[in-house]
Amino acid sequence: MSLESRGDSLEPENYFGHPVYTLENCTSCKACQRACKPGAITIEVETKPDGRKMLKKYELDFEKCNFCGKCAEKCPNDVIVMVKDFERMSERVGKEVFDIAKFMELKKELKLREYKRAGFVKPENCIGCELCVLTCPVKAITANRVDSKVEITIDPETCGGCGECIRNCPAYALGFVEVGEVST
Amino acid sequence: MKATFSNVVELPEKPIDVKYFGNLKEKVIDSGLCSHCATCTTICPVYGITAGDKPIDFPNWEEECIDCGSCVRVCPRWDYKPLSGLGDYIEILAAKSKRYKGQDGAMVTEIIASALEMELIDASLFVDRTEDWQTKVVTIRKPKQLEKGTASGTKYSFADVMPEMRRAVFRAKKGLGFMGTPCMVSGLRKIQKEVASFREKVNLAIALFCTENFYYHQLKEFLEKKGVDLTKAVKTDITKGKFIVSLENGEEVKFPVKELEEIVPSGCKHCIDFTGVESDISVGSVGSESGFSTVIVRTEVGKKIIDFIREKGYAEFSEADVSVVEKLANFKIKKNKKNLENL
Repeated sequence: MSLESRGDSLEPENYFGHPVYTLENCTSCKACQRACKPGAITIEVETKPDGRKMLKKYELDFEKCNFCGKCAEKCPNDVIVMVKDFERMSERVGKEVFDIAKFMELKKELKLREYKRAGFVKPENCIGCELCVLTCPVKAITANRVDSKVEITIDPETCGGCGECIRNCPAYALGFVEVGEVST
Repeated sequence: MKATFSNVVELPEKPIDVKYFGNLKEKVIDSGLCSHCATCTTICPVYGITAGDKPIDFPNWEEECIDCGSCVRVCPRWDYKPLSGLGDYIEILAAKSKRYKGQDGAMVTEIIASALEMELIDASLFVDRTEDWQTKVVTIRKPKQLEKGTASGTKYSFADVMPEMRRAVFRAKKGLGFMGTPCMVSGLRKIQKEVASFREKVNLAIALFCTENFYYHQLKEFLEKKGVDLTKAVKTDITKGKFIVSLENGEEVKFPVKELEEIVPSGCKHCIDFTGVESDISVGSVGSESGFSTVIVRTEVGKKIIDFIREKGYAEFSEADVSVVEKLANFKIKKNKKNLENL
């Protein structure tokens, strides 16, 4: 499908690209949702009694999206990348509703924003409370019990680099690591 | 930066084969040892542990507890080593704030205000109260907030300092001040030993001299039987073995503290720490003349603040009678030691 054949009023000068939510650096501030005039973005954040935030849902409805690019413009952390390739992107996303999992797949395909991961920068601080496991919006962190020990593992392939586990960790055990800096 | 994607943590020992909260419940709460310091509520990753005007609980823990062991790690009475006496100190003195009015010398208020002014902390937890004497924990950022009439004065019922601390530590940019009973200060020290955010963010711990504390609803009910309407009270105090409620109309209702024995929570009966030996500064009424607070300065942080107050002339200083503080500290040991032995 070409831009001209979309059959709606979208003029080429009004097409700023397809927004791709990368999760990387996202603080769940909802600036993109507020910026979106057609109401294509739905975000659900659970705020805990102490103010900790947990991102529960991020959805972008490409049927409603008008490709204005305001979401990317208003994002303070450069989380959304506008991919300007109408034909290819229209074919890929169509008029679907994209959730975090779908965006993570798309991000991998397009090789976008693959710089950061959460990792244990002060593993000795960790108390095994598993708040990181509960907080991770893409379930990249798992806890495995063996006898009197618990092993907390972050899957770097799944981690989207949002840093929510880092911000929520009461033990200050986690931090951002650049990809390639981690010893396994 | 060196980092790993995987980390192994040793879990605490588990005396009984149920989830960790079940262990805490049996060994600390149901056994009557729990002091209601509520430190466990500040770390539970599922926010399931509740405090308030009732014993510590985790309703539905069988299902909802994720068995991580954090509550047990931070509980000061899990592996209880009771502390007592005057504790280590740099100096003991009597002081009276010139800037604030309070029950005695309003020194807790003065210390927090000064610590804020010194920028040693940028916020402090503070126990305020409602019109009907329920405790209300607030976060103070400006000394001006301390000028409210209800702020100073002893409240004699449990305050949710810890749940508020969880919030304050998460949000704190610099340092946080903390005030509480000796058991709460012990809880703070235990969680500081275990958990980095509390270690790095809480810079000042003020302990209040304490013989016992009460559940609000029990104290209210007890006082009602004595014909006291707490909403009409302007001050509650314990002096010379008497519980004294001063009322708006100038009347005073007095009765022996002993009569309150029936509502003293079990956890308090297992405590022998009167002065809060793990604090930076402890403050109380006994040991100084009327209108003054007794101040025990224990750490360098505490000393810095007192030196600042002295330098600025914010308070009037006098001598405290250490023997009186010691007498009360010993009295608490004598009264409750047998309960500890019976454990």
